[in-house]
Amino acid sequence: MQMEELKEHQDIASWGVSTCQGCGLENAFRTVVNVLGPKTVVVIPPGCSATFSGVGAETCVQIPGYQCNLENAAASAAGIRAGLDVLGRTDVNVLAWAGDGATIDIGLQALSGVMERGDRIIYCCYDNEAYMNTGIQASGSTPFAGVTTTTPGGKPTYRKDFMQIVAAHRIPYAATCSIAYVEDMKKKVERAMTCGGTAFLYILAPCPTGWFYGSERTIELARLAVQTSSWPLYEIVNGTEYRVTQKISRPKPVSDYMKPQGRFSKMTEEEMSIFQQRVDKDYALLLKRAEA
Amino acid sequence: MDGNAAAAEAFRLARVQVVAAYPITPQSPIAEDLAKFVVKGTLDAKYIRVESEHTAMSCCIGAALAGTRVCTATASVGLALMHEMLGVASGLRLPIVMGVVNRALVAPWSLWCDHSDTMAERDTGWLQLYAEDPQEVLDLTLIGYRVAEHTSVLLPIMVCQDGFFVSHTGCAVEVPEQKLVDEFVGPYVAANLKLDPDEVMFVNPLTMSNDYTELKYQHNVGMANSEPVLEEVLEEFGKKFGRTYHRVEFYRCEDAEEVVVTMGSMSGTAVYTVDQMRAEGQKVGAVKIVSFRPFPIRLLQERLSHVPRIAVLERATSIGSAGGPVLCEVRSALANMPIAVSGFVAGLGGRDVTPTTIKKVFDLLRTAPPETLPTWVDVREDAMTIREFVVDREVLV
Amino acid sequence: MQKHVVTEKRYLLGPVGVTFAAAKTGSWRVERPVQDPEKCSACGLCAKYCPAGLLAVNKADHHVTFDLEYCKGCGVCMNVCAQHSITMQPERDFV
Repeated sequence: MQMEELKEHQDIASWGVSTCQGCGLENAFRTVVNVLGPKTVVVIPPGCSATFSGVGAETCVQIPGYQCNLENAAASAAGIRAGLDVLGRTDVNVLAWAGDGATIDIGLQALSGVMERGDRIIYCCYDNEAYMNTGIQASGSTPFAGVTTTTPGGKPTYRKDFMQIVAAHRIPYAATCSIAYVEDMKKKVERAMTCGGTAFLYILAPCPTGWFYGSERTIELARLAVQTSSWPLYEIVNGTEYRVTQKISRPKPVSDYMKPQGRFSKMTEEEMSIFQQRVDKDYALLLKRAEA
Repeated sequence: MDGNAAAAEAFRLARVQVVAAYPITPQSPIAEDLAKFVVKGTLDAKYIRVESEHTAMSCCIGAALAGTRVCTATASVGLALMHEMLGVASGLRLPIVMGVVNRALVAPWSLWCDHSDTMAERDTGWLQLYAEDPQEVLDLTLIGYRVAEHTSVLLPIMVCQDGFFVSHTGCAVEVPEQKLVDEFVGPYVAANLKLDPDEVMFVNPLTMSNDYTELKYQHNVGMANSEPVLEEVLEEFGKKFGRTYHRVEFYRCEDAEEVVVTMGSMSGTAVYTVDQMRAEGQKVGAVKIVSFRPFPIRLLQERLSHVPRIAVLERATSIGSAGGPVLCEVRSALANMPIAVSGFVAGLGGRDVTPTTIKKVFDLLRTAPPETLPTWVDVREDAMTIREFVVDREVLV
Repeated sequence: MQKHVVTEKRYLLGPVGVTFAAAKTGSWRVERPVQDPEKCSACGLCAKYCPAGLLAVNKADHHVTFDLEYCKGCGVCMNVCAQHSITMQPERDFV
C-alpha cells in the first residue's frame, strides 16, 4: 500500500499517540474501539490512556470522549449512558477505558455501584499492573514480588483477584483478554456490546517501561502470560458460568513469563516456586468452575 | 409542603431527565420523592440510585454532557464528598441544579443546620442561592434552571435551604401550573460541551499553562454575566408567577442606623425582630442575601451606603480568617465607605437563632467598639470545660 | 434539492479538544524496522500486532510498508515475525 492509502485507513485512534514504545495498552485500545465503531463515547480517567485524550485543543480520538477523574470512570460512564438513553441514543456505545489503579483501587466503589445497578456500559480495564503514568507505583493489581517504586523490595502481597470481585456482582458478561490473542479479544468485545447490561473486559497490557523488558517483547510476554496460565483467558457469564476460551493443556512454567521481566529480578527461587503453586492452584480452580 | 418536598416538586416541574441522588439527613426525602415520582410516572426521568455523592455528581456531569437536564441534592459531608467534582461541573460549564440542605460539617458530628457545608464550596465556581422558606426553595429552583442554562452563563447552581428549619417545616406553598413552568423553563438543549457522535469533541483534556488562565477567565465571565441574567429572570418570574424575588432583600433600611445582614431561614426572624424593635422606636433594618454567588457587591454599595453600622450575622465561621465568609464579602463590598461592619457568629450545629440573639447583635453593634474578628454571640461561657473526664488511677505513695 | 455541506462555526467554552491530531512520534526512533520480502510469508502478524497499527502487508509481493512518520521503533514487528523477515537497524544509518 502507498502512504496515502495508509493514511486513508486512519482508524478511530490517531497513529501518533504518546504512549511508550511497545506499549501494550495502545494495541488493546485500538482493537477495542475499532470493533465498537464510531458510534461510541469513551470515558478516560487520568493515566497512561490519557495520551489518547490529548492536550489542549488537540485530541487523538475521532469519537466523542471525556476525561473524568481517577476514581469515577464507571460513574461518569453511567451518567452518560443514562443521558444518551433518555435522548433515544441507545445505539451509541459507552466505553469506560481505565487502568488497573483507576479500577481496582480508587475506582472500585464506582465500578461496584455500576455493576450492582446493571448500568449498560462496557468497562475495559487495561492492566499494566501498577500506576504507570505517575511513575511505576504499586497498585492492588501488582503481582507478588513485583518491584515498583513503592515496593522497591518486591510486593509482599498477592494482587486482588479482581475477576472474582466482578463475578460477585453477577453481571451478564465479564472476560479476560490478552493482546496476543486478538481474535479472541475481538469476539469478547462483540459479546460485551450485546450482553444487554454491564460488561467488564480485563485486558493484560504488558508495559516495557514498568516491567523492565525490551520493548519488542510486549506481544511475546502477553502470549507467555496466557501460555503459563498466569493470565488465563476465560469468560464469566452472569457471575456463575465460566468458559475458558483458550485452553492451555500443558502450561509452561511461570518463570518463562517472569524471568524476562526486570521487575521480578529480586524474586528468589523459593518465592518463584511458591508463586508457581499458587498459579497452578488458581488455574485448577478455574478449570473446575468451567466444568461445572 | 416542607422544603424537601418543595425541592423535589420543583425538579419534577422542571422535567429533569436524569436524577442521581444519594440519601443523607436532612435531604433524604428529596431522593425518596424523586424515586416515587419516577415509579409513579409523574416524572419521566432515569433515576440512577448512586452509591455515593461523589458518584452522584459524576453521573450528573456525565448525563449533562450527554445533553440532558439533571438534578441532584445533598447536605453536609455529602457535599464535601462531592467537592472534587464540583469544580469539574463548573469548569465544564454544565447547568446542573443541585439542592443543598444546609447541615453542619464534621467534626463534631451534627445532623443540624449551619452553612459550613456550602460555605466550604464557595470557591468552586458555582452559583449559590439561599432560600428562606419552602416557597423560595421551589421558586429559586425553577429560576435556577433558567439562569444556569442561559447561554451567557452556563454554570451550575446550588439552591440552599436550612436543614430542618426549612427542609422539615411545612408551610403553605403555591405550586405553579406545569403549563406555566414549561413556558418559563422550556426544554434543555445542550449547546456547548457535549458528547455526541455527530459533533465530535473531547471534553476535559489536559490543559497547559498557555491556555488554563483563559479557560478560567471564561468561567469568570460566565459568573459575571449571571448577575444581570439573574435580575432579568427574577423579574420575569415575578411577572409570570406573581412572586418577585431579588438578589438581596432590603427591609426597612432606608432610614436605618443599624442593619443586620443574614442568609437563610433566620432572615425571617430578623424581619420579625426588626419590626419589634421599630415598634419601640429603634431605627433598624434587615438585609437578606439571596444570591451569595455571585455576590451582589454593587447592590449592597448602592443601598447601604447611608447606614453607619452594619452587623453580619452568619451560621458559619472561617476559623483562622479575619472574618466569616459573609462578613468578609460584605466588608470587601463596603470597603471604601464610612460604615462600621461587625461580624457575628451564631446558630452553628443547629442552634436556633432567636429574636433574643438578634437583639443582642443589634445591642453589641450599637454599643461595643468595632472589632475585626467576629463575635461568637451565642457561645456559652463554660465552653472550655463542657467535657469533664474522670479517671481513677492507682498511685503508690 | 441537492445536499450541501454547510460549515457552522462557534466558540466553545471550557476545556475541550476540537482538532484530531497526531504527534510526530517517528522522531522518537533510535532504530527502524527493515523488511526483507524474500523471507516474508505475508502472514500479517506484524501488522496485527504493531501497537500503532502502522504496518501494511502487500499479499501480492510480500512487501511490508511502515509509516515512518509515526513508527517509534519498538521492535514488536521484528519480535513477532516467525520468518525473521524484519530486522531493526540503527536510525542513524538512514539519516
